[in-house]
Amino acid sequence: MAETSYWTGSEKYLCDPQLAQAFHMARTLGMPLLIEGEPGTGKTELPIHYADSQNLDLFVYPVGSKSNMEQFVARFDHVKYLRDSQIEILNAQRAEKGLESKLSTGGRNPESLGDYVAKGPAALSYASTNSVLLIDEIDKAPREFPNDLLYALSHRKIIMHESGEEITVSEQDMPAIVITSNREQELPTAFKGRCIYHYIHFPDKEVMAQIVEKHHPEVNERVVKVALDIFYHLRRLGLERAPTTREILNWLKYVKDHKPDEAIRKIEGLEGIGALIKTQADMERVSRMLGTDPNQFSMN
Amino acid sequence: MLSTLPEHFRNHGLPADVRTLLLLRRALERGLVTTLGDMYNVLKGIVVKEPEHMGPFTKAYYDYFLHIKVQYGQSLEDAILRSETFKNWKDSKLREADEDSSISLEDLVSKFLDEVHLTTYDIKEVISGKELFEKNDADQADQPSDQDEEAESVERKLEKMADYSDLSLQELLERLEKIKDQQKDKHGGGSHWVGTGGISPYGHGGGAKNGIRIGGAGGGKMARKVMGDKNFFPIDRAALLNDNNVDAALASIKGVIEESAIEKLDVPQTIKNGLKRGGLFIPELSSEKNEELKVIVLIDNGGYSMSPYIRTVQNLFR
Repeated sequence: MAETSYWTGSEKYLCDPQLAQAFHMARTLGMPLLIEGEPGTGKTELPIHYADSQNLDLFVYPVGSKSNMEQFVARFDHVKYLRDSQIEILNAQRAEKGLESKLSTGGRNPESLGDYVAKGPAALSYASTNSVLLIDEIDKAPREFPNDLLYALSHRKIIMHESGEEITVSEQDMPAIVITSNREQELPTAFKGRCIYHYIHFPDKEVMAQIVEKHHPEVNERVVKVALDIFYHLRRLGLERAPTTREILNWLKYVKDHKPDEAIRKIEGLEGIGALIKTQADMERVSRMLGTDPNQFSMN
Repeated sequence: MLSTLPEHFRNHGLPADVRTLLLLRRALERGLVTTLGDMYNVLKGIVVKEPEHMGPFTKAYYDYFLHIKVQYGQSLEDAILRSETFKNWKDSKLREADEDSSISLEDLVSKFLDEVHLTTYDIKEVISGKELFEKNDADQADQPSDQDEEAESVERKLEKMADYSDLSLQELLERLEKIKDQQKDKHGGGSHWVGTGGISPYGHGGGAKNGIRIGGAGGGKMARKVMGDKNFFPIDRAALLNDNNVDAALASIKGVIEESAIEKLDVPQTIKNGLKRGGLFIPELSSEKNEELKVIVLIDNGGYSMSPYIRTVQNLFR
């Protein structure tokens, strides 16, 4: 029986109740949870912290432009297989020539195909009950990848063709699958239909203060307040690339070694704002709006 | 059960179908739905597949389950205030709690939203807070008696809530059946199963008492926010292109993904050339060509050379 208790976050991770409820629902129904939202809102962190705080095995599959089912499920090592199957002949030839030493196959038997299958994260997590599987940034995958996943998700079965092995999990033992996406491309409807969908809203100031507290508990309250004021002000400017949670945390990391008063002075002087603003156009815009010299923004 | 739901949600432009019902049923069997707020959350997870669905979904939900129709450009509060459902709810609420009838309409709407979006999770939180509450109560045993009475009423409410959190599937289905019946009888004064005999577990009170938080953790807030935000509604694809929206239209085609021909190994050619070379095989690549062109946008910015085409282009975008 998989873990289906209601999880509301750990001391390192603040899980918004809406997200926690969607996650609980996905686990209870044995369906994957598809999380979308602005970059830097902690989509990837959810399964990592969940697995960590519940002591579950975590399998991560970071999706890239070359991702395919073979990497995700299992790869058959043809080269090794060819080598090992040749070894028997070689050994016979060596014996004929009177050579004592034998070549070894390293314990693998060419007769059992399973020895040559390198299992990917999907096969591993389906095989171990009560695990967490993270498929990160699925929008970066080639178009057909989400479609290839359909069978594995809806029939809860993985087939490894070369070795003929099949891994099936029951609805109850289904690993907690979390899929994240930045909406860089539309996912197929059929794929979305098999997931529980949750869109992470950008946290408001109150929640953000709590998030900061979880990451940098040592930072002075006043410093956090001043930094957040500026942060939300910048977000309202309608920049090309609005700063996100990740950026504010980095900024605070930069100023946190200073004494509170000095840190506030640094924040108000927008020192190290390069941590928040990521494009030249935005930087010019900010300096125009706030009437400051753009050169002083550069991180020392 | 709820068989008209997919059709209703489809009318709001949402992708609901039989599978939605099947999934919902599975969620009911797993005990995920015991309150109306749970229903909102679960349906949201199943039906909503894009952020742009959030707005129409909230509209559809309020219409289907509460008979509250949110008109175009209207805020959720307004729609609630004008609805029959809210009126009935308010009447029964004020009748039961006649001592503080001075609550402002705004607070009443907030309370209404809290009740609508109350979820099992909130109830469980309250119940787990119950032990804490009992402990506190023991310490205050020598307090005046009216305190005790209040404590007792809270106690009762908690028990009522606890009952709700472990409803059996059978009971739940009966309850939902009742909703459906009320829905058929639209002229009978609207449905008033929020608060009275409906899904919501408490008829009176609400709000926070004795430090025990009662009410949705954010469902109501979210519903309100979603209504007022254009980001959660789909773009009107039938709108005319004009000065106001041409920016948005052009921005949407700016995210062009670069694609070039895929190179493939040409096996026959490789063999042919390899044989010619006397067995030296060098892979021959050929590029695969597909017709994938959908739209060509040509933009001529300034100058007079394109003047003769102005009329054509205007017609094109009309």
